[in-house]
Amino acid sequence: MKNELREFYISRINFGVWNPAQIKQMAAVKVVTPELYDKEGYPVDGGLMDTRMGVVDPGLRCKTCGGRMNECPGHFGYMPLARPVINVLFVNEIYSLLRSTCRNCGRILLDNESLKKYEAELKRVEEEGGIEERLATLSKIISEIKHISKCPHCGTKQDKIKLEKPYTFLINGRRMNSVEIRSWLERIPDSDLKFFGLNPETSRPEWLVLTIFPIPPVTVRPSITLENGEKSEDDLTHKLVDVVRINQRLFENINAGAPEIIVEDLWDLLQYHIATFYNNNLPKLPIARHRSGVPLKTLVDRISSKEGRIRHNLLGKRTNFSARTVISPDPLIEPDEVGVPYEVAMKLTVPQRVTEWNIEYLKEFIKRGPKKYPGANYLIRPDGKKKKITEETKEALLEEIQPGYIVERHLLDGDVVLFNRQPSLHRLSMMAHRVRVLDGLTFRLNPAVCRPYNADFDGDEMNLHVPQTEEARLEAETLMLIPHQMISPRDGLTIIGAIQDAISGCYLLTKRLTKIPKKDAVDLLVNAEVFDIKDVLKKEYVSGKEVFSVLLPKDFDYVGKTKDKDEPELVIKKGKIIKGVMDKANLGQGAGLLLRAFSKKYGAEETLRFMGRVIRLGIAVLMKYGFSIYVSDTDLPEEAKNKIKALLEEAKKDSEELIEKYRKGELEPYPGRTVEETLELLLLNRLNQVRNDAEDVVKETISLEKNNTLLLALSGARGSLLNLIQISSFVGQQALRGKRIDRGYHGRSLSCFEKGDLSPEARGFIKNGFKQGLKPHEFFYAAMTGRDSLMDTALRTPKSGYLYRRLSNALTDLIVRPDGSIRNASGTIVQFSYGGDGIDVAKSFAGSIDVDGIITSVLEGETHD
Amino acid sequence: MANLDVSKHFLSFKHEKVGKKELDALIKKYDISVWDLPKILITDPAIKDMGLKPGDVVKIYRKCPYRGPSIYYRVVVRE
Repeated sequence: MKNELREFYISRINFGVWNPAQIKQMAAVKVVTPELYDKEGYPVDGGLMDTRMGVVDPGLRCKTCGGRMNECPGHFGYMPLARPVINVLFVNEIYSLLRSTCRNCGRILLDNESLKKYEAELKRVEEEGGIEERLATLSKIISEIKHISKCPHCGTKQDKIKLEKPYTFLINGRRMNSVEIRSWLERIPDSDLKFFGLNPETSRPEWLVLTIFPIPPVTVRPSITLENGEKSEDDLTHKLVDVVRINQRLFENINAGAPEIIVEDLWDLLQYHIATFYNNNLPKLPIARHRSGVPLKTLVDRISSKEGRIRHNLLGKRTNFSARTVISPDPLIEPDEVGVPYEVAMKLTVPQRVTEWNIEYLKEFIKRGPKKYPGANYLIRPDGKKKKITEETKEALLEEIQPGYIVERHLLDGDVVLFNRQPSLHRLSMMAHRVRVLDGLTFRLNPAVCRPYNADFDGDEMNLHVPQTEEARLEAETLMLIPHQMISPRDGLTIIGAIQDAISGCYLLTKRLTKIPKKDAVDLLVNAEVFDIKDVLKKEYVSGKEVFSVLLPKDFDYVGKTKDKDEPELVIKKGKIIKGVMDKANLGQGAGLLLRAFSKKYGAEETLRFMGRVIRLGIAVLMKYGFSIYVSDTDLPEEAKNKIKALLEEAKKDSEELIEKYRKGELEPYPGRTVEETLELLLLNRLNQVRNDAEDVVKETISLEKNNTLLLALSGARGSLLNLIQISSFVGQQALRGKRIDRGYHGRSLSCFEKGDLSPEARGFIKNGFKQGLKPHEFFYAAMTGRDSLMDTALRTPKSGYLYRRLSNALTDLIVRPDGSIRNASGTIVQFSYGGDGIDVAKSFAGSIDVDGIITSVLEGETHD
Repeated sequence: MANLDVSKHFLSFKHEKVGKKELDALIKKYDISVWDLPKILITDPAIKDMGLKPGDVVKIYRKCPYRGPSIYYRVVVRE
């Protein structure tokens, strides 16, 4: 092999049909016998396994090119057919041609004038809409031509041609044989072929009827030697044996002057075998089978359908250097890391090129071998030979190694890998992480990155891929690393942020803990891996806000909102929290405005480090001070109970009044609604409102100081006030399809109510809370809506998934060109600027560009991303 | 109702025929043929009374409450 690299470009590809001369010319063998092997087991000359068509046995050499197995690409053979046979794959083309040309002179059934007119139209259509449009128009024209009954050129009357699937042509009800069809096609002049879009140089129509049959190389139909030494042939070979055998029989019968019926029968059989050789799923044709009854897999089966070459092997490629296992959480690793088990790290490898400078370093890996971490599994010589490193080969390989070799070493901390969870619905479903090799058997990930993957830890598995080249690694690092993906391309907000315990911990710290002994503060910060802690060492006691401030850079200013009602404003000046608390609005996912501002000022990388510290601090707080929720958290004070009772009374009274008004016929309908619909709307609104009123009561009466459940809801860590109310006081109105519950019996929801009862209780209002317990009818309402929403999700998920798949497949190859336009794969313009305004949302601030802010910061000499 | 002129409705955008000079500049800027532009039917109510022929290009002044005004081009096609 010469190390000469030459570059070629494919300028065009020409598709056409083989002609008999070409088939004969490229063939290496004329196949004359259906036999495969002789008595000694060697391939027969002129048989279907002839070694001139290539070899699949390790010992043999190809007689055409001299190559051994895997060297010889295979060579075609040919076989002259005793009678011509139609190629089934082209019956439709033949049908079109027969119907639109004259059976006598072969000319197209159009006078010169209309031919010119149609040609002009085809040309125009192609210019405007491309080749697809032209083909559509052409088939429309052909279906018009078939009604012409007299040839405008020679005046011959045209007979009706019918195609009887799969390959029988009838003229006036009489069967045409392939010789007839072929000679008809031969008569069509070259000049008329252009109209049909055929190039006479490469695709004469008579070539669609085979006279010489090409026999594919042995390499595309390799035989398998079973363990007992018996040979098992490929399906294609089986089919070819049939074809060759019948062809031989046909030859013999013709030469012997057999009666026409016998010849016709054999000809038909030959046509059948050749048809099923191409396609074994033809309608109205019996499927060719093995002796066992299994259908033979012939050419079309190899390409089409889910198990075919395209969807299985080309679109469904599988990869090496990948791993899959269960995931579990680990808030102590950074959000852009992934915990990898030793088992995996010792199987997956990174190829590293040996140089003068790292040879000693890499030798250490080889010395440790494949069984001791961190070792190496393979050594690749400059000539591409791969050597497995084992205890036995180790010493020899250490002697041999020199610059230019490649060591496949184990995965190390800091290697960049791709991490993915299916379904891969958006680009954030596959991100690059840095490896952290850990004990255990699961992949570990920081809970902060669960959201983009939509992962949880109830048994989810994820995949990991190791890039193998510098280019792949660089691409992963610069495009896919977590810091680059932190801001969502959907809304320009951080999609990665603190969740659950991290939020409640920080909230607790900045809200409730106002007096922390110095010692505790140091503990917390060290737990969060923050060591620059001189700020908290000055006083004997520090506040939680001061502790949190240690994480903030000294030059960070921020003003924002919080969800807290006592301190609705968060003010940070010079890296100190002046007022406000840390909650979901600042740290959370998809909200995290503090994080967004932070990343604008300090960059994504720094934000991620900050986030890691915040999460660890929050968790450290919870671990140090403990955090429990109690059933008693849902005990409302007497005062609140009375208030809520009053609210319910009031709502009931209002509803009764509305119903009364409706009964008297005094209710004014809304525009476009009936009186009944209006009443239902008003009632539903009134009854839903009680929940909101009750939330306010709870917020006012329960003290946050003592109620941890409320703290969870208010900080945004988990749960809502609604959940709290549904447990403590009442569940509220149940709705089905946007209406109060009105189904079940005729005119009533349950048999315990009277017909036409419109009162809240009879129409799905639940006035008891989960803790008190529900009345039987109330429980039934809850079960109704519960079942409805369960069915809804179960039915909606696959439907919306399929819709999304189609949408994303339709849009996959849209790209932004350097000129700003959005183009599809064929280069036509879809949009003139991305989204109409040319803004990349992921680089914007919540969807727009803050021009004033940029001007101010430039004037002040600040940097920004 | 039957004779409603859609192009006069306040929600329909202003459509305008693109002159030769501007069209040449557009073609050159994007390095395309006119048929690579997005299409509009000659029978489209917004342009049907403008007396256009296939191959003409219309300029559309779009307005959007979220992302502001933008300009779009379409080539007139027969079907």
